[in-house]
Amino acid sequence: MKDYKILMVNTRLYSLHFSEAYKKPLWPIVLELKKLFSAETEITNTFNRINLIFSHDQQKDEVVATVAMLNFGFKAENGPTKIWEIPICFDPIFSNDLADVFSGNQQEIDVYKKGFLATVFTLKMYGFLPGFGYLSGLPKELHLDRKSNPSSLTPKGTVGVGGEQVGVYPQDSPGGWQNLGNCPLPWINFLKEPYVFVAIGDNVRFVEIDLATHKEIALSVVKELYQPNFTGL
Amino acid sequence: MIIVESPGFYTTVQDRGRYGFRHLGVPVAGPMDHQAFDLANALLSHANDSCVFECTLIGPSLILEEEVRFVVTGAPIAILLNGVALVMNNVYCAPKNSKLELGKVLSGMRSYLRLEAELITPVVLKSKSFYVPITSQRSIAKGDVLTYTPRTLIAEKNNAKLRVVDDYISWKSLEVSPGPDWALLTNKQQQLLMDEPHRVEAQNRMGYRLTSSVKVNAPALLSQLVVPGMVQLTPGGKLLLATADCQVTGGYLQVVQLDASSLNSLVQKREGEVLTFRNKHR
Repeated sequence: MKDYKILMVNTRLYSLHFSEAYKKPLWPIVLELKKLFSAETEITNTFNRINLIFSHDQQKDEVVATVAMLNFGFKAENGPTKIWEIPICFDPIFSNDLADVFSGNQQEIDVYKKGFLATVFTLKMYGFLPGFGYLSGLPKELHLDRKSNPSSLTPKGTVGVGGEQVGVYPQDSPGGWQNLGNCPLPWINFLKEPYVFVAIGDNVRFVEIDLATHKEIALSVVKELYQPNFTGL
Repeated sequence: MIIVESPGFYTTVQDRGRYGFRHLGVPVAGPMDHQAFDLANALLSHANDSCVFECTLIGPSLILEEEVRFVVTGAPIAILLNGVALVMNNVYCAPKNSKLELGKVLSGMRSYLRLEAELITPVVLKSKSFYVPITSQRSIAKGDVLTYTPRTLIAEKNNAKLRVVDDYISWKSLEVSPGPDWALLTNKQQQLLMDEPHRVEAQNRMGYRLTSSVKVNAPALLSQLVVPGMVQLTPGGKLLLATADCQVTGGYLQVVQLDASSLNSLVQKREGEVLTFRNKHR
C-alpha cells in the first residue's frame, strides 16, 4: 500500500505528502530518508509532509526512484523512551488568557489546567520561530480558538494553545494563541549541539511550578546548570 | 579594523546563509539578492569567507584601517572613496585609513559591499549571517568596530572583467510558476492573480507583502514548509512573498512561486512599486 504521493514543488524542493489514513509518526521515515540522500539534502517534516530540500536541481524521476528504495517495513530505531517534564508557571505575573477565555470562572480554569497537566504531548515539528516546537495530543475538549486579533507581543517562554496545537515561544514575538503560563526553560540553544533537548517525536508533559521555582530554574539556566527532567515511558 | 562611522539605513553582514537547520525552525537568512551577492564574490573571491555587507536604501560610512580591495554590486548606489566618486561592479583598492562612504541607493533597494578579506564576526549555526536572536546583532551600528584579516592577493591591476547583467533590478513583471496550492484557486481567481497589478505594501528581510483582489474561502490548512520565493495568499487577499529571513513554515495557501531570478528582482523593489506576475515559459 502506498501511503504517500510525491509533490514536485520545484526542481529543488520535493515533498512526500501522506494521506490522512497514515497515522504513524513521520520522524522514523525522515531518519530512513537521510540514509538515502546526500548530507547536503535538508529533510524536514510538517504534520503530513516530509520535505526534501536540495542544493541543486533534481530530476523528478531520480527523486521518485530514490524514495522508492525506502523500506516501510523498517523497525523504528531510538523510539521515544522518555517523557520530558516541562515546567510551567501559572502565576498571574505572566501573560495568561485563561481568565478571558473562561470569563473569570475559576472552577473552569482549574479544570482546564488539570486536563492540560495530565496530557502527554508529542513534538511533531519545529517551525514558526527557531526552537518553536509544535506539540500535538491536546484532547479535543481542551482546544482553544486562536485570538481574533493577534497580540503584538507574546513574551519569551509563554506556553500557548492555538486550536489543537501547543507550543512554547522561544523568544518575544507577535502571537495569536491563547496564553496559559510561562516556561523558564529555553527550548533551543544556538551554541551547543544538539541545539534542542526535545527531539522530533519525543513526548512532553507539563509540570506546574510556583513563581519561586520559576526564578530558581531561570537562574540555573543562566548559570548553565539546569538539566531538563524526564521520566520513563 | 573597520570602524562604522554611520551604519546607513539598515546594513547587515551576510554570507551564503544558514543551511541545514530548518528542521529546528531556523530561517536560512543569507543575501536577499543572490545574483548581486554572487557577482560580488566572483569579482573578489576570498577562499575563507563569502561575507558581504548588505546595504538597504542608504549605505554605511566606514573607516578602513588596513589596505583592502573592495567592490560594490546590486542596486546602483553612490560610492565615495576618500571623497572620490567610484562606479559599481569595479574592483578598487582602498589605501590605509580610507574613508569609504556609500550614499543613497539610486534605484532598487539593496546594494552589496564586499571586501577582499575575512570578516571576523561570530559564526552561529555555521553562518555569520545576521539574524536576531541567533546572532546578537540585527544590523551594524554607529561606533561598531569589525576586524578583518589582511588581504591575501596583491594585484597590480584588476583585469577581471565580468559581463554584468543587472537589468533584473528594474523588472516590472516577475515570472512565476504554480505553487502547491495553485489548484485550490478557481480558474477565475487564477486569471485575476496573473492579470492584475500588485502593489508592494510593506517589505523587510522576511518577506514582501503585496496587494491583490483575489479573495478565497480557503479551508483551514496545516502549516507547511515555506522557502524563499514562495507566494502565500491570506484570507484577507494579501500576497506574502517569502524572502531570505522567512519563517520556515506557514499556513496560508501557497499559490505561486518565484524562480531565482524573479526573487532577486523582487528584493530590489521598494514600497509603493507596482508589479505583475507572468507565467514562466516552459
